[in-house]
Amino acid sequence: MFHCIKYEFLNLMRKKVVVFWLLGFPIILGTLFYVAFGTLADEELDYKNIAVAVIEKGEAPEGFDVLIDTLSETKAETDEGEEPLFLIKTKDEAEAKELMERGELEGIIYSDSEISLEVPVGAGIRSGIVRSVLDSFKSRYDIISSVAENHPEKLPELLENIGAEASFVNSSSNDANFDPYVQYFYNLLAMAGLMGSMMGMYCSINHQANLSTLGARVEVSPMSKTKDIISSMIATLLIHNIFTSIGAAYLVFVLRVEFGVPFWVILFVNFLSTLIGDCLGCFAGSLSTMKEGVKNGICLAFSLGLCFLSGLMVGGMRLIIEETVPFFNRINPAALIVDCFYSLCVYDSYDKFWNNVIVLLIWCVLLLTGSFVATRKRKYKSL
Amino acid sequence: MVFKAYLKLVPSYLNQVIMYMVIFAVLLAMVVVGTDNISAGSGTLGGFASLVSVNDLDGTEESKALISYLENSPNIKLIDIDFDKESAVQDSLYNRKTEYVLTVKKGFGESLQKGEYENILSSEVIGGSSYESFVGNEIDTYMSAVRLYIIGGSDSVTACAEAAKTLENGVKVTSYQQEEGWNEENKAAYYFYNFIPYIMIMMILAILVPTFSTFLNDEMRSRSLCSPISPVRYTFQIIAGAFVISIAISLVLLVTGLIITQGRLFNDKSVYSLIQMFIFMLFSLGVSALVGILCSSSIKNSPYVTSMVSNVLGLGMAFMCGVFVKQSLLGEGVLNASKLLPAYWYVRGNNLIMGGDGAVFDKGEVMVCITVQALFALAVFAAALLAASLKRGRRASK
Repeated sequence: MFHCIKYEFLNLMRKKVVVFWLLGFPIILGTLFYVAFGTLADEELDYKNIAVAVIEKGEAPEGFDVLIDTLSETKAETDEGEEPLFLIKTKDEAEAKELMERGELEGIIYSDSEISLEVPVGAGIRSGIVRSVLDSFKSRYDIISSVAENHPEKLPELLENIGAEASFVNSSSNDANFDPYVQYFYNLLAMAGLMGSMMGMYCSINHQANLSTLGARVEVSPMSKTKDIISSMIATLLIHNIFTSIGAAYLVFVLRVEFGVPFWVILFVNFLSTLIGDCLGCFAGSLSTMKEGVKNGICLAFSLGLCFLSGLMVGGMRLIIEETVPFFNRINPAALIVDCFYSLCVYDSYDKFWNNVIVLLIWCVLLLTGSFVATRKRKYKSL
Repeated sequence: MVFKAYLKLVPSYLNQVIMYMVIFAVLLAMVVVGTDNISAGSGTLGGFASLVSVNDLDGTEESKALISYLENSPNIKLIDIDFDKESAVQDSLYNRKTEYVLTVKKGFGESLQKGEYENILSSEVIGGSSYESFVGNEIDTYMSAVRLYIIGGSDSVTACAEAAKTLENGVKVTSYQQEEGWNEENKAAYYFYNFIPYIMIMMILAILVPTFSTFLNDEMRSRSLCSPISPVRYTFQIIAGAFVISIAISLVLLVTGLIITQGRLFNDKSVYSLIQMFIFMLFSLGVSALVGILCSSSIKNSPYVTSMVSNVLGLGMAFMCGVFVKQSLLGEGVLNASKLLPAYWYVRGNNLIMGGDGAVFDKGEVMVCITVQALFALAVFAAALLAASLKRGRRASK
């Protein structure tokens, strides 16, 4: 049996297409994901250095200059070395308009008795923060005016308390999954597993006399067919796991992608994804007498199609499916693999994780049974 | 004759092209519909909306006032979730139906009346959600205003109403419409043209590489040499066939784009976009010819090589050059490297034409981008010719 495993192993290693898709492609795609998304989460969380212009139109409410100066001065001057919230690009209106035209400003603050803000069309969260800060200042100013008018006796107490901060919200967050783009890497591992269907397909084709010359030789050999198929499956699984583990190790240890789960979990889910990929391929290989190239194409398109629906190409796809046809996410192997990682990041318990594992195992049993039923006890009149 | 035979071969390779077309259509539809929904009726700061769910355990006037304030906030969208269900909060966060779950604790109103403010609310968020800080800031601003009004002598219900009114009359915000910059009306067209470098190269390579390698294969070439057709005519007809197919693919893409964007594909600067698209099509054709020539000695392997090259080149350029992620978000090193690829210049040109990613239209700079792409196309055609001539030389020496 070990002899068979060894030669099956060598046979698969010589298939350059398989090596490229299972080892080379995930590494290349992982590197590209890293290049594109590696710093994206940091960028989204970067609320500092918001480019603004401050234009003095008239006399601003008292304290406004101090506020702007405080928010725009670098904390380096105050020994903490932090970046300022606002980066004042100019105080000249004409230049500010020019910068706005070039898309280099998040907002123009007009300092007058009534503070106002001009933001570019379609302004994003950074402009929203500028508005929020100005609203906060204005509200305090308005409150002081209102209290001075309606309850003047309370004014000293109010002024005493105005600078005091209170923590109104007790916030809890699960910070294991802090990068929303990590799901692309989950999908990448799912893809690497499912693409193994190509290897599973060879495993099936190479044991059918009407589909390959190797299958014909195996058919007439004195070796037990069951033993041969099992050794072939072991070799396929082994090499597939080696490839996906190299890919996962590259992502975790070289690119330093934070999966939010321990490495052993990655290896375990990888094993499951390779198992289902190989079973899928076995099933596809045993189904009909189509040419190898066609079956290869079907495996590739099917694996990539499932991965597309779980969010490999478009991040939000899995959620769209969840809203429209949630049942599909419960049975799509790619979505289940992604869920295995994601559930551990979001849920405190392992319940959802094990549910996904069980569904994946059921898939494996069904596919393997299907391929055994399709190929067992075949006899050939002529080849 | 060769031209007709070339076109007859095309249907055998249409499967992958159809697959890519479906991917493109879904991708474009998602982006167009998704971004349309974000900006629908959201005022001057309409570029984003945070999804917030509120679990009101207090049910007093004070808590209702807080919910009402959040509801009226221009950049917050309240999402209903079934809090009676045990895992509702985790499920919603897990599926990103909501980004911030706020719980108004029992006794919220009473605490305000007593002047107790510490931790009277609680929140659950997925760490890393981009709008976590923004929503937190909005709630803090409101609660600070309520607190100050209470200190200033108002009762809690009045303080909530006054705080909401004060914040409603926040700073006046106006929108600045760039003359030559971003225009919301161009959004659909911008995304359509931005996806072109990825989809064009994938589709053209999928169909042209196998056809090129079939017609430029040694055996076919030898047969054609003893036929009455001259080698120049033979090559010319193959190129003409490839050109017609590339044009057909471009037209199909444009028609698909027109349908998905509901006709919002053209504006006064579309001529530049179409020139860019045409030149990128030529570049893709050149790459197909080069790969086809290199694969022509083994037709059997050409589909495998095609998918390898198209995926690496297509996805590589898309991720590195700003097709899927804005160029402004890519690192400096990545951008410098991507300048060696035509897709960078295409995306840069598209940004300038449409005013995307903070760029502003500049005819001179657009022309530079188009020229660089044309030079890339020329270079790849030259490489294809060189490969063909080397191959011819090798065949002659056999």
